[in-house]
Amino acid sequence: MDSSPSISIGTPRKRDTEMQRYTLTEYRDASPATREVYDDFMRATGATEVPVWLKSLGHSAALTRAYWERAKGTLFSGSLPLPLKEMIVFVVSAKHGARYCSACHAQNVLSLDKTLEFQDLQCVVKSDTAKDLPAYYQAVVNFAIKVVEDANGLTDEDFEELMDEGFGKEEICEVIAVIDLASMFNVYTSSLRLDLDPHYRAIL
Amino acid sequence: MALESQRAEYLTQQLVRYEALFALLDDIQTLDDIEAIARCIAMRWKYFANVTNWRLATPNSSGFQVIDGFRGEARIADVPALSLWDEHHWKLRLPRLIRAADPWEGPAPPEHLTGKAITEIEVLPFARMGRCIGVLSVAARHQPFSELDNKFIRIFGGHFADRVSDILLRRQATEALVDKATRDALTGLLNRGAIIDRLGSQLELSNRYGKPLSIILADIDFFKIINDSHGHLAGDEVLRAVSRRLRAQTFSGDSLGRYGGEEFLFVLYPCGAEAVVKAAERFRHAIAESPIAIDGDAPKNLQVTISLGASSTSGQEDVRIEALLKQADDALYRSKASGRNRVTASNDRAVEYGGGAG
Repeated sequence: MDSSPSISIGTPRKRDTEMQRYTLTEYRDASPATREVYDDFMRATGATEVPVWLKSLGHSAALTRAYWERAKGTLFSGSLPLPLKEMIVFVVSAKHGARYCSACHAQNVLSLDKTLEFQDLQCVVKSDTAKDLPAYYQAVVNFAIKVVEDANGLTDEDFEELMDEGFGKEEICEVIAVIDLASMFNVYTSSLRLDLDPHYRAIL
Repeated sequence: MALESQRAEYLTQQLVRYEALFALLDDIQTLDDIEAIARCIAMRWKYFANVTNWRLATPNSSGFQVIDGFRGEARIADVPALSLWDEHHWKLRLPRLIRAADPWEGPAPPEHLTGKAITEIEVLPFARMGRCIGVLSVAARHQPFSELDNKFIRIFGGHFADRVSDILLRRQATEALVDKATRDALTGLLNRGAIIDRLGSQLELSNRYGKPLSIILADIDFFKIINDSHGHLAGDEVLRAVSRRLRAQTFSGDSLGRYGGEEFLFVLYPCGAEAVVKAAERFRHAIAESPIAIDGDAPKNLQVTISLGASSTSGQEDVRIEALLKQADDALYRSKASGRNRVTASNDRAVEYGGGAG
């Protein structure tokens, strides 16, 4: 068993003047309660490593669990398909300029939806003419962008538009919960200026 | 190269759609409730074809079941007859593509399959063993249906119609079996086993909630003489007519059963000792008030009466079914012994009425 200190420091950033704002708790150093959450994350997502965002919370088992349960309950249950949810998280994160989340979820979108390529997501970010998305897909993306811009400005027509594209009220509620989840993670990861996991590619 | 990349794009699109299709097929095979199946489909069809607004009409035991899907939700209605749109396509039994831009002189489509964004409606009838099991109408929004849309609509539409039709057929078969096992074939009332089962369950409720329960045994007076003098067909007719009149007097048709040859059992819950005598008198009067018309070679009117015996439990004591039935049977015997066409409660002497014995 490794007897190194229970908390390790994240990889230094390129610019020396920038402060390292977080600490990472590696699996081997984590408390049993935190480990339990790490295990649950890996079981649910099929990942073989714990990502930086989760390790940055590992110092507190309660916070680790709270953030993970929120993500799990929103992304891995309900009636919207996971690729669509990942797309919502990606769009919201890109709109918020959240470097970590947008890279992580771009990766997830591409692995789940094989009809999309990295350039397609770049077009979505730049609001260029994106690939022809199905009408329901485009409607959800437009809705998410509106919520990020001004949640109070949402109109009944915005809801009507989604309903016309075949979304029931419960599904729209789920769309909003995913937008909200993304926003919460955006604030967390951007404030701490989290470094990307090694296998992610920055899109912003 | 361009062709190759188009082909690759087509295959990937197909793969993504298949994933969504299989997930939905899995769910609709597992679910047994048409409402839950329709809800799933209303939400998830859009993920593998350009379908958000649709209708499926399927025959059921009393006419047709029509399921409408739109705005992510599904509505189910049982209707005695199809709308003009569905009937038109039901009779035609041919796939049709109706484009919004082209003139259409047939019946108007359902409201949710029309509108500015709708570009075309595809109608698909599904037949199995020469029998039409359903007509599906799906509307394309924004874009007309693509080749892949069509392919997935046909694959899924067939499964959907089969699943709904299977569930409806199984439900009908189960209902018919239950009916056969619990109904008396001649009168349509509950049979002896079923009415005693009902008495058992009602008695449990009476004990649990401490509310009174009463039963009435009723027997047609001089039924043997009716049979001997007018024949068994006339006897059957009398049994049917008495059953009809008695059933019309009960608040729930299922609280009455044919207990024996010409004997009927009522289970009344909640109902106390005083109310049961009034109810029994109502039943007696319903039979005695007018003669029963017998059709056949020599039509005739027969004056028929019944004798009744009632027993009750307050719900505060532990009474067994056998004891309650014995008390009612004893009371019925007393009604017969004291002149027939009368009501006796288990603790009373026979109450005489001026209807005259039949």
